[in-house]
Amino acid sequence: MTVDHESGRTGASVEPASVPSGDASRPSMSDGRGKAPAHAAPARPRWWRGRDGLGLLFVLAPMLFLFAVLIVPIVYNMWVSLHSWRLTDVGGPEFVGLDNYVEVLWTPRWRDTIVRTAAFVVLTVGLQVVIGFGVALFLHKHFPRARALRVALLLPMMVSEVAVGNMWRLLYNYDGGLLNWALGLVGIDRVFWLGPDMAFASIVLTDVWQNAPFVTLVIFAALQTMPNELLEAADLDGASGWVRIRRVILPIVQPAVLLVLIFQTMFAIRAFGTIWILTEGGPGTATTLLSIDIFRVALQSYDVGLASTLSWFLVAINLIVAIIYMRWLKREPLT
Amino acid sequence: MSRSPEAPAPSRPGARRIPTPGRLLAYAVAAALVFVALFPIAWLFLVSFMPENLILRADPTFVFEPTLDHYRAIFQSTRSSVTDNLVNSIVVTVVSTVGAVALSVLAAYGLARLRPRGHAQLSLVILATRMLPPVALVVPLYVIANRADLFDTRTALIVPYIALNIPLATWMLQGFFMDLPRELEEAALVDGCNRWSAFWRVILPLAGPGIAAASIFSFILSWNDMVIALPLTLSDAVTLPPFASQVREEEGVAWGQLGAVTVLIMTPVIIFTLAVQRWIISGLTAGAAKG
Repeated sequence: MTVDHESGRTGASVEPASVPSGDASRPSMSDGRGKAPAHAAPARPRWWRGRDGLGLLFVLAPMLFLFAVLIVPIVYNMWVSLHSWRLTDVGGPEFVGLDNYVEVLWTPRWRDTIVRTAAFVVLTVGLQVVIGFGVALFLHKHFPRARALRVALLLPMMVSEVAVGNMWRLLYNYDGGLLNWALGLVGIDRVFWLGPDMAFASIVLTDVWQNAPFVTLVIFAALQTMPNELLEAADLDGASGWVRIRRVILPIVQPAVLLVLIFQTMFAIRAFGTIWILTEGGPGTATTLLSIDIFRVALQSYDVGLASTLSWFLVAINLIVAIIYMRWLKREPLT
Repeated sequence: MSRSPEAPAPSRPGARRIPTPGRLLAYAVAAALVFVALFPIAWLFLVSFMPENLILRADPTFVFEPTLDHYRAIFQSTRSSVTDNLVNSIVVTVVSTVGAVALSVLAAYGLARLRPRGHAQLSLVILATRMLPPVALVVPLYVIANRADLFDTRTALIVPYIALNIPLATWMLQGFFMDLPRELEEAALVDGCNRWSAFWRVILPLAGPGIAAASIFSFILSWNDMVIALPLTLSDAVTLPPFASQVREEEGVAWGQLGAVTVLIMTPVIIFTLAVQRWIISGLTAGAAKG
């Protein structure tokens, strides 16, 4: 829990409560929520006076920068989405109201993309959490320190999407790719990994390879905070396997699970680079997600009006997910 | 998951025993995990040193005489030398990292140490901008860059990279700043420093490791980026990731050269990842939970 410095201040030289335990003063999502800060602070030490103004001054430049470079374009994007606007047209943008939004919702082509994006998010996040959790449990049980293992798991999620795309394109190659070679060793026919039937499964597989390690590492870290006596007690009571996981482990790692759900969902919604390299959204539209369509529509047909509308659908999905998770978080605070 | 029926063998220091079958199985599973995580990366490294005629063969060879041909080719190619792209990548990444970290240091110090009224809300606003998917910025930035005559310039990349890196760096740095004891500033102020020099001369040097970690994070994110770089560049300002993405099937992929370019992209990231591995998990989840 975060200590409120306003109400906790006594006028003495050092902050009470918050200093001794370093972690306790870290900012958290629950920071400032549900508390009424008592602004009537008693006499402050000399060096502390005027920190409000100075603090805001420090924050001003970065905030202005964020506002100008992130918020202004997003608002501008809203304006663009209300216009029919092809960059190749001679005439400039033409106001059309919500036409672009109606078109996205009523044209099967775009609707399919939204459904496909949702399917991709649910599939990848589900697989990542299940596999990541399983690996974390395994590591915790057999390799409690697992230093080298952890470093090995870090690399897939840190290297560039471009690199991930290229290395998997090499593996998926029909003629000389190692995956088909390995299948051949056990007598299975070659698979057209990036062909119409398998392409979607292949991009899911690559995404899981890239992002499941994050789940493993976060949950593994959470498991390490679990007191050993807890599991021993559970063992003594004869709890085994599934019961142990559900009744003992899950409640303890629940905040971490929520955390990875949030992060993985956001990453899955914005997935772009790896898929762009692997398939460019093809064959046909088999692997076309919202992010891919935004690129295709904006940079290949120059229809920025429609592309910005698609961006808004992406932001909306992102926002809905964020709100759902925030509500969960309120019920089950992370800290 | 394969769960061995045996109780986990507690590894007592000094107690050397013959590993149980369960333990051996655990080692086998761990080895498989490492293999799955690292093999695709390692294979690309190998291919970048492999003679062209051995790549993508029906019966792959894992033992061969390594060659630097592909690296020579990508740097000496008259048609499209990678040198310009490498320079672009370095300039854009370094400048945006310095900018993002400088601004984030200010924000983090202001929020975490001075704690002005509303600092918690401001922190949340900064965190919220991190949840914004960069893909959603592509269209407006593309249009704006075109109109402002910034299309295909390094500036068009540097500015968004700074903004996209501020939230993460700020949240990481807040944690580092708060871990420093409050008495440091007090002592500095008592000794006659003003507030700025207390920050500049006392706090900043002590936050060195935190600043290094935040810099490395920003570096990796900018260096890896393709989402912003692909739409905003065409020829002059192309960085390595979009360059590596433009080698397409129709041209007949020169896998050795593509591998070499990709290795160029991956190598600094791998080195930096090893350098900051301690902070990566707390860094990536910064702000969402206790480090």
